[in-house]
Amino acid sequence: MFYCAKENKYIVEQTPFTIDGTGYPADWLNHASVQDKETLGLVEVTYEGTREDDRFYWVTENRNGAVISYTNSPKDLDALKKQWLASTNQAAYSLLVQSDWMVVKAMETSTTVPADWSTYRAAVRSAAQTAVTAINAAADVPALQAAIQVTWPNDPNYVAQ
Amino acid sequence: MSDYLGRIITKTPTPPSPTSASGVWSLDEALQYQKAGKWPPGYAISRSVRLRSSASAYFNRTLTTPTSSQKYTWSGWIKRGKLDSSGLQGIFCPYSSGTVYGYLAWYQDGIRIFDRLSGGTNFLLQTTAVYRDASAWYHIVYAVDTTQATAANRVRLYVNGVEVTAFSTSTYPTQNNSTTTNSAIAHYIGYDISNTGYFDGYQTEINFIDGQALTPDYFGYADTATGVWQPIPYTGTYGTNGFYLNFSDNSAATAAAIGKDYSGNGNNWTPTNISVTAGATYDSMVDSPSMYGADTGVGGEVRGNYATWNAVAKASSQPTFSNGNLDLAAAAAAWSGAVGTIGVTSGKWYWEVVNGNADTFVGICGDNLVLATADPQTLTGTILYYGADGRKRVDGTLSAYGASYTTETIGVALDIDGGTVTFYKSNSSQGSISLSSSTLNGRTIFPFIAKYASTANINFGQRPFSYTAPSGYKALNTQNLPVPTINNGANYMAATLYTGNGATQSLVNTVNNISFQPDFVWIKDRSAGYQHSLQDVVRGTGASKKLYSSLSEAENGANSVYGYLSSFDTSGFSVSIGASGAQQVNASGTTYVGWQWKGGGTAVSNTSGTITSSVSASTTAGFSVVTYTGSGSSATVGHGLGVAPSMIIIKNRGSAQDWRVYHTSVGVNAYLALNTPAASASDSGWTATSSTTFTVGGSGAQYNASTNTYVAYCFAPIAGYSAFGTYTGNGSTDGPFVYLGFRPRFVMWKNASAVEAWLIEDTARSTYNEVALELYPSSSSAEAAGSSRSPTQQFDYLSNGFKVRGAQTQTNGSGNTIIYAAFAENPFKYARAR
Repeated sequence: MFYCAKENKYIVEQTPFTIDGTGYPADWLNHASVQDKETLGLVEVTYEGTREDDRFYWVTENRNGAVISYTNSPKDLDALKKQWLASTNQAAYSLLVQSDWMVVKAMETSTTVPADWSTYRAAVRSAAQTAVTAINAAADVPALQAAIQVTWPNDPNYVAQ
Repeated sequence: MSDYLGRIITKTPTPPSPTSASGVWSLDEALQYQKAGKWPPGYAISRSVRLRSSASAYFNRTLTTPTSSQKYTWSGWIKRGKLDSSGLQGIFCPYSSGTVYGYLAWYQDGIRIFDRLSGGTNFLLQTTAVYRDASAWYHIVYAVDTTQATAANRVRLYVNGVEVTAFSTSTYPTQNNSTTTNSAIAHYIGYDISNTGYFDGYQTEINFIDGQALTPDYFGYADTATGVWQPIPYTGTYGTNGFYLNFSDNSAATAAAIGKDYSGNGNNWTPTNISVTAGATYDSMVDSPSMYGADTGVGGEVRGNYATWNAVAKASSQPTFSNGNLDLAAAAAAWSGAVGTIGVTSGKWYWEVVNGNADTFVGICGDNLVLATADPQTLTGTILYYGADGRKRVDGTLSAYGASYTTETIGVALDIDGGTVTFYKSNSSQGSISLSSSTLNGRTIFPFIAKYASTANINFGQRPFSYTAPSGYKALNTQNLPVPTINNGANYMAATLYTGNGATQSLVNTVNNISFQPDFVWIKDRSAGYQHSLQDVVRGTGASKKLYSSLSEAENGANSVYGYLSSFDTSGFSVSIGASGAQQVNASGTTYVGWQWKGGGTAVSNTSGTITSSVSASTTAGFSVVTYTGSGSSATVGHGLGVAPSMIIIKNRGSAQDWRVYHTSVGVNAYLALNTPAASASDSGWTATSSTTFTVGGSGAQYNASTNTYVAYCFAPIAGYSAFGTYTGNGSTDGPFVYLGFRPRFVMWKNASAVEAWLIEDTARSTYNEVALELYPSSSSAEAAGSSRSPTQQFDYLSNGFKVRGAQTQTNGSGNTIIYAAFAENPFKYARAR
């Protein structure tokens, strides 16, 4: 991204723009030389600080000319916990539902679910429960961010590449 | 001007090519079209009819004794509405009784062709491909000639000009059988009685030819510039039962008007539950496979492919879409969210929404919205206007704004150039909201709605607006989208398939008469499990210049003896046998794919950085090949792209070091390794980027050891051609939808959160959806089919992006960050549905 001081305007790549009443096509920045950009008064934007994950933080861009910095304020922890608990349970459900038919078949035919699949399904539940416990225990947003990093087990058919 | 059938012929619709000014044909183009017999090239389809399945809408007519009981052709343009993975939606359906009927239909989202005689099935075909792209138009031709000697030639199906040959079910008619279709019984458009299957979506330009089995080139052609299938007027004879419906007369919902046959036969069709009364049920649309016209803001005027709600954009709670995806219904159990099919980064746009109650947030969202994770009204990446109390909600935060609303028309005026969005209640402005107050600033922006326990219908301008748009604001359709720099990705990126011959071979990358000389070629065998082989124009050809994405091996190492790229050719490349064979590029009988990118040809010296580099750069395609010699301390290297790259792939040429990959979504000081499945890792010495250079901040051997030589492949996004982004997996077979702004040809993925292999899937190998043929840059494994793995790892490549259809961690691990690099067949502006 570039900043045009004389019009206090930010120019985004692959987007047409107008300066001094003259229109420039979307790919102008790609083709223009450094000198062309300087002549037009464009300065490349630099970024200071870290932009946190806006799923967890209210991120405000502080635009000071060609320098952009960030203010990152944690979102409400309880609301985030509620959201990620639901998401974790949904993820576990989506993994289990694919082999639910095995359980149904086993019940209907008085047979057993293959042992490796039983193990896998238990591991999914265990991973989910571990994550749920960690989410509930998170004391702050960084702890919550760590808690949601769930390593789900691979099912018995998985072939690593 | 008009031809004798009342159809409009004009040169206006076809978009200008990069070599011609708007609306003016270059002599070269004119001669090309005339040579192909396609002059003038633009053919204007002025209207389509929306068939609302919720209203049980259809057309019907009872045919008479046909010209031929053995030969006919149906051709039509279709844009899907409601998708239905289990049901049947009739497109063209004869019905006499429960034992004598047939249909051309969507079934389980594939195409199903059935014809039943009183004695049983006459023929039945079900495509292996699924067609779940409701964001653009399909052209379908279905031709029957039961006199053919070869059974498979008796029923033929074409989509967008290409014959479909993969069927999960195929029963062909006995030679010389008569058919129920085109017999003297009732026929229906949009309704199959046998399954009570109503079509939902749009149809236009329907030609039915009685007595001939025709190929699609009677009804369309591949445009010479874009390669995209375009309509042309059918000029042949129709036969007794033949008809031509273009739905252009919307003066009345009668057989003599909207159902009028323009073939000259007078075979008009009677509409049922089709409305031409203004309002939400108005079914005469300007949504069209043609693009033309200027926008004055009244709606219902510009022809093009219009935005609708995106039926495949997964929300945590999915609303029910209907009526050509212009209506939605949200259940009472949870807030539902929906986004539009067209995203924009510039311009001024207007649309209208009418809601069923006040539990509504009408608004916009950015491409940073992660729709699947929570109540959509609360999410970052949205600017919303709340019905219940009139407040606005910016990135989830409520504050005072305007008046409350319920069933009034809410206008949305999005001015990206000016950085504002303004909501109108019954044409009364509620005030502008600055985009810079939100996370949407500088992003691709979409129409958005969050709803609870009610309905909403939207008008993007495919029918007249209730209120004229503010001055300068346009309807959201492909005609109004900006003309992209690259209108055909085949000019800059190709995926070429070939079979090795064990010697020397020249490969051609031509697609629809478009070819180019590549500057970077990446070869992988499909069938045997040999290493990847990468060569570029800057390092040069020959066995000593090979690198391997699946290995850390340096140039001229142990694998250099297994064949090599011997030349970059005008329209492709050549491969030759090495000292110990040609396994990696040309083994006899082995199948290969060659991915190719166009750079800037012969390298030039670049002194933008503190290290002088050699650069072959295409600023048009956003791709450069860079070689440099490391300094052993913090340095910058010129890349020649003019804008900051979004992805850089670096390899130490002389030492066995891992590949390094910078991707904008992983960010600076973090990296991935192309030759390993490792998750992203940190390295403070790793790269930062600017419009002129990338930074190699330390002395890491992977990118900047003193006197070591390196090659870097740099990519910057080009709107409509390439994209480098990220999405969050949901672990479901109903996975995320990723908007690219183009129909992809090639996508490469990596789960940045987990130890999972890199993955590439392309449309040269997977010629239809689901796309599922996998190759792994970090592995020499041969091609695998996603459907043979569990959980499956498949995708739908669509006119405007891709939809994840597999649950596998590799590309859809729940909560994982998945990065991608994608390259286009065509920009969405021109693309057909896939």
